Amino acid sequence: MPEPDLRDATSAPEPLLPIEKKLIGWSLGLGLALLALLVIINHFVRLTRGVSSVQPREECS
Amino acid sequence: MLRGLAAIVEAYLIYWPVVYLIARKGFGFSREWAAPLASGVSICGVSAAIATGGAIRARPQVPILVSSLIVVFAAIEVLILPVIAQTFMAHEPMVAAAWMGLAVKSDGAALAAGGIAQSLVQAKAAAEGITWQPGWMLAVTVTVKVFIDIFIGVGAFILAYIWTNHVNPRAGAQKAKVIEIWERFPKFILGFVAIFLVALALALGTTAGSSGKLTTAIGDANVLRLIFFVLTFFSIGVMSNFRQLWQEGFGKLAAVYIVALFAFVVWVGFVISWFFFAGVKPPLAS
Repeated sequence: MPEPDLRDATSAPEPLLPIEKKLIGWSLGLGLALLALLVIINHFVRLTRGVSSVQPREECS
Repeated sequence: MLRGLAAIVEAYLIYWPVVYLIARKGFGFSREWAAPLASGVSICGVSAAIATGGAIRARPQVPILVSSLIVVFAAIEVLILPVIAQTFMAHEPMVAAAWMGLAVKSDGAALAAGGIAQSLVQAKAAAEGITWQPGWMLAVTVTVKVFIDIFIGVGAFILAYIWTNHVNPRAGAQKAKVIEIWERFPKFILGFVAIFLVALALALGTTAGSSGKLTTAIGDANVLRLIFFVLTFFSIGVMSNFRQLWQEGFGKLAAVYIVALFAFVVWVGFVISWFFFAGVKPPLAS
């Protein structure tokens, strides 16, 4: 097996294949959508749980 | 749970595609280099780079070189990020702890950073008269990291499937056989799963009397883990000619790492940690 040479790795750029574009696009789209959903759920969980998991700053000072 | 899921989404679905794109389009790296590098920067360093290298059939030296880069930068992060956390996040200890888990690559380094951040942040808080119970910050760092780690196998499987069927399909074959995906799947992940199941069984079966022995056994096993970890990177160091690597363009690989880590991963990790942990504090020490 030939030794990998980093010069070869960048000397002849490989164009992005459609499947790579799809992988990047879908991953990012799905990730942002899921993250937004989790942020919203987290917000409502905090509201409903109240102070049990979040200590008000006054308590610490 | 919710915060752990956010860590998984962040690492696999946000960091990975962006870092892969930076490596491929921004720096012109081939797929063989870009995929292990993206996994190393995005997921959990060494294991992810090696798992991805296996899944896409990269030459063995590729994930090893990426791993050595990860370890070098993880050491730099351990020195810098906890100090930043103490300076700017002394009143948000859990944000700082989650940030260590999300931003520092390589498990050992992340836990070290979490421990240092905990000491620094709690010391600053103590100086202001606030004393939190120890261990809570480190627990957040560990939890975030463990959640990210448990999906390495799934990530590797998906990449193996895509690379086998779409990127490097066998000539004439309509669809890759399951056996080929299995051949590409990094088997050490199965070791992770087995160890997890054994540890879970031990934890569930632990009585109050035997928990002390278990702690001692974990401590002993940790010494072995550390020795093998050090030997791994000692071997990488012995086998690598860094001067030659530098001449061959290792600096370009490091440039991708620096750009991706310090211009993207670290800050996105901070913002997401803030969304999920802002206002959450460890219990006060009585």
